[in-house]
Amino acid sequence: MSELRKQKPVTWTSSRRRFLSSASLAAASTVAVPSFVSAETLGLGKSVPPSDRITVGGIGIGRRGTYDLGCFLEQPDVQFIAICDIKEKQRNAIKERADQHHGNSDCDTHRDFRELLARDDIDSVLIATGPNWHATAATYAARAGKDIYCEKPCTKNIVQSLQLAETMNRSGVVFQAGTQRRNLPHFEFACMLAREGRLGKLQTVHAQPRGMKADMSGWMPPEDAPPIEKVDWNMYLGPAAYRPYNEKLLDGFNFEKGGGLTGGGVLEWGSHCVDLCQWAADADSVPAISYKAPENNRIEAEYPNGVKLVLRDDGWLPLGSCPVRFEGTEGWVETGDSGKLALSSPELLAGRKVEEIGGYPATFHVRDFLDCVKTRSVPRAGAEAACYAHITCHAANVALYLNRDVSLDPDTYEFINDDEANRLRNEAFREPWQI
Amino acid sequence: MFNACRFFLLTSILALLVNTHSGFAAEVESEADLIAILEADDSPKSEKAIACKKLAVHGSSECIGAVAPLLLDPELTSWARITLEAIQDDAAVEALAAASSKLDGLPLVGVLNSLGVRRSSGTVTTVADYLSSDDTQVVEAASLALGKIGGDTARDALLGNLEANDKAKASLAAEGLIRIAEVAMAEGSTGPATDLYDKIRSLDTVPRPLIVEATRGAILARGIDGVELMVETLSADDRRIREVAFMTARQLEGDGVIDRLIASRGQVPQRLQPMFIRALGGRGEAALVSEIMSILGDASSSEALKVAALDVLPEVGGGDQLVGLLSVAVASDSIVSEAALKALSKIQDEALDNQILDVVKKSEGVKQQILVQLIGTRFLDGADFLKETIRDGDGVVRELAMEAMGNVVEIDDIPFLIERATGDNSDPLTSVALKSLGTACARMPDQKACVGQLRSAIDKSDLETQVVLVETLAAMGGAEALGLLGDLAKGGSTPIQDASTRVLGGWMSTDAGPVLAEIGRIDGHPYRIRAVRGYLRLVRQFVMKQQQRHQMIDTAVELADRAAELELVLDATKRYPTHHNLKVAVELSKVDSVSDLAKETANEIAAKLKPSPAVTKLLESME
Repeated sequence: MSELRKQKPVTWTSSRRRFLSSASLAAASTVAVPSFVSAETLGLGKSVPPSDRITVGGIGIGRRGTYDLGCFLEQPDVQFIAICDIKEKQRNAIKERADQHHGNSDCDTHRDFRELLARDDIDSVLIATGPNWHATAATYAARAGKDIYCEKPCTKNIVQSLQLAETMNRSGVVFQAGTQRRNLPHFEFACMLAREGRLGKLQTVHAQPRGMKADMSGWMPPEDAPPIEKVDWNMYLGPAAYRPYNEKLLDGFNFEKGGGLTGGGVLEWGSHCVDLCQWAADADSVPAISYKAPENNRIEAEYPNGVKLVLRDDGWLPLGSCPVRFEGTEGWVETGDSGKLALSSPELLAGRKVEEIGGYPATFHVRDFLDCVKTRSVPRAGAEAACYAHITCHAANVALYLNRDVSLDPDTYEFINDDEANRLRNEAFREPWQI
Repeated sequence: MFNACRFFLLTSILALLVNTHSGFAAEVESEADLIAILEADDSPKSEKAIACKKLAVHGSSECIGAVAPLLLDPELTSWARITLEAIQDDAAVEALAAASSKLDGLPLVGVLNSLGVRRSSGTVTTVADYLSSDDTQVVEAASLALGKIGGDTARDALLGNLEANDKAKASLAAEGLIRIAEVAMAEGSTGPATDLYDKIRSLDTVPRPLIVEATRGAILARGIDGVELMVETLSADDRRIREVAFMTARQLEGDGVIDRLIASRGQVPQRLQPMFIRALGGRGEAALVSEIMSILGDASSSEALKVAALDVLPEVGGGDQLVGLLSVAVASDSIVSEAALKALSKIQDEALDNQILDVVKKSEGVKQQILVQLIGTRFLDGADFLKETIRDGDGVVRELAMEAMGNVVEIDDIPFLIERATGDNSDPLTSVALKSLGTACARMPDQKACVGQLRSAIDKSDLETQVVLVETLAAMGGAEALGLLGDLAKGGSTPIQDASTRVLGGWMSTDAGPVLAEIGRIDGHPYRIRAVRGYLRLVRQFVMKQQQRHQMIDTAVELADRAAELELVLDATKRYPTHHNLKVAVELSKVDSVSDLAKETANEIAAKLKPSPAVTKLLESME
């Protein structure tokens, strides 16, 4: 049988008129941005009246959140009606942007996200606080019955990852982790090559941790705290253990990431590129199980299906940030944020033109989320997929922190015969928070 | 037993790994030292906090006595609980339980939360006492803690609050009880779980999100018998409750569930049937195929329902439904037709491939056009049929067949495409063939053999054809095509050199650098300047390692002999400010034609570099 017979069809993007007229093959052979459910089905064929829009509230909209918000506002069926942030300046800035976009003055401001969640007129929330808050805020949002788009890393440790997935499942809400590369054509295509056996039997998946280290935000010398209306320090600390106000800690992006002992690049970047490796390895329902101690600035792990995961910073082709590489018995593929693909053989492309989208936009990921809100489906980066990708990152960090081999029990996700490792699976929340 | 040597090693690693803003001390502490920090009255709270964190990972039961008093300190209680939640010793739980009686407000809430995490059945009574508290946060903590601990005693305590005449307490009790029910369901105790879910969803004192959770649980806990409740729930007035029913349609487990779900479609309101069929599609079960075909064949089915059915078909099968889907594709309105075409393209089944190759031979008109395109989009072994169609077919299908050829031919058919791509320009098929040739060449696994065929064709062709084939090399890409282009650019006729250097100038990888540099060094080459500028494009715009860029900038200086190109070199140095590139700019300041720009550039680069005597010296070397 010809090798060509092994090639699978690709997404059909042409219209019928073009199809029947003649030259639709190129379009048909293009791996384009995901189309999901048709616009007509979702009622997006024309402008969407406000009453039919998905109402969205934002929780913790800083630098990254402002970008995400732009992706939401691009969508014709979104009405952004409330912002919660512990910083007054940010609350006002986001309100101004939303009001300007919608041409009204309706965006409400809140300092405590529980007020926002208590509103019946909000369908979904965008959570883009620092990682310290992600899992906790998402859990409270689920308890309030809101659908959730949550930035990554979504959790601080293994137990939070499991609880997050369990909570989303139990509460019947739609959850999308902010791992937007799952909805970019080149990453999707690379994962498809691996998943569908076009690389032969998948052997090894590679991800870049971009710096393996542990971070601890600590307890810094106290400073005079601003008025609570300006900066609500207590809400900023949230589930993190108490410490007095110090302005240097007000960098939500880095504050208490991974619970303070096991954060760093493996979690920050791994929640993207380990997530892609997991998708490629067809392991969205299971984390890597065994982890070797770091050696030569690499960590190696293994999924239950025998696929090896390699976390490494060196040796990448110049294909942009967040690179991944998948190697099978018959070929390999590597790609990154440039949108370009490197392949062991051009035959793997088989006539397709993979749409090259650099800069890792989140627009398509947000659209996927909104479509699933309407159809009550599971988004590409649903809670279960996010759970196991994060567990793998956390477990790799435990191997890094303890500097020794560790193994997870595939049923309980507890480390086998390693009390110290197990103590890093979870961390107490500051009162009153819990998930 | 705590191992002191191991602790020494681990804390050493900790000191190395942890990027401290303040807390972690660099010195190595023993557990005894950490305990001493906790017990000393004059230890700063910051040190006590970090000591708790270290003990949470490396401490033993020995430290519990020192940690427990910190539970009473509002600023340290959360740190103390980090330790006490982590140490798997009954003494830690006892310390938490004992502290509860001395606390109120938030510290008490925290302790109750920790008891929930520890899930010790021995603490149920202690925790349950707080269900009657006047502090809602305390009741919340106690309710959720009991939900996590579980067991009959916890359940009964929560049921007491569920039935009490206090809406807030009932709501929190429901939340705890749902957690107990979830555990029961997971353990197979579906009867008790169902009872709890039904009780909760029947109460009007419970807020909507909990009714949603209880409804979901009530459906799933019933297994196949949950289908009836699921269908009933689809008619609920509340949108969120309806929505969770759709989710359960995906999640219900058990033998025969899919058949029961399919059989229940008639009871689902018409307007919800598209979402219902999408939910069933999410189960990925082949049993849905016949139902989908039935929907498509039913004249009374709505357009939205047909589209939904076709959207989910590839997820469940449909590999044997070519004829039916073709009929839908050619007979329906445009939205349904397009969905059918999309389904035909996406269904992954070798049986469908074989059907397409078989049926296409007997088809005509629009059906044949569709099938011919499917041969291409599905990458089927249909080259011989496509060639026949190109030879004997009518206009539209010939073009479609030619286009499909690019996706299906193997190396032996490259000459066929070359011949057609370099034929009569007035034939519309020629341009299609050229595009197909580019597609085919780009995907050939043996690039060397493919380029060999193109080289052979170029050698035998007239000038016009040669130029056409150069364009094919551009579409192809890769090292082999680059090699041939380099040869043509250096040794071909002037028009071929023109075409080849044009292609090389737009090459999309830095591999073209050496080829362009080689041409740039050929005195009198008619396109030498174009090659140099192409080289500078790579230097300025492409991602590469710093060392490679430095080498290429040095080569560019060597190749550039006009002010226009030297200005581009300076632009490259400015884009990538390094000490090396500063030196290049300083050196170019000695070239009259770009001296001023070079000085300006050097100063801009220097401003972006870390100040150093070497940088100052270089700047001073400029006049």
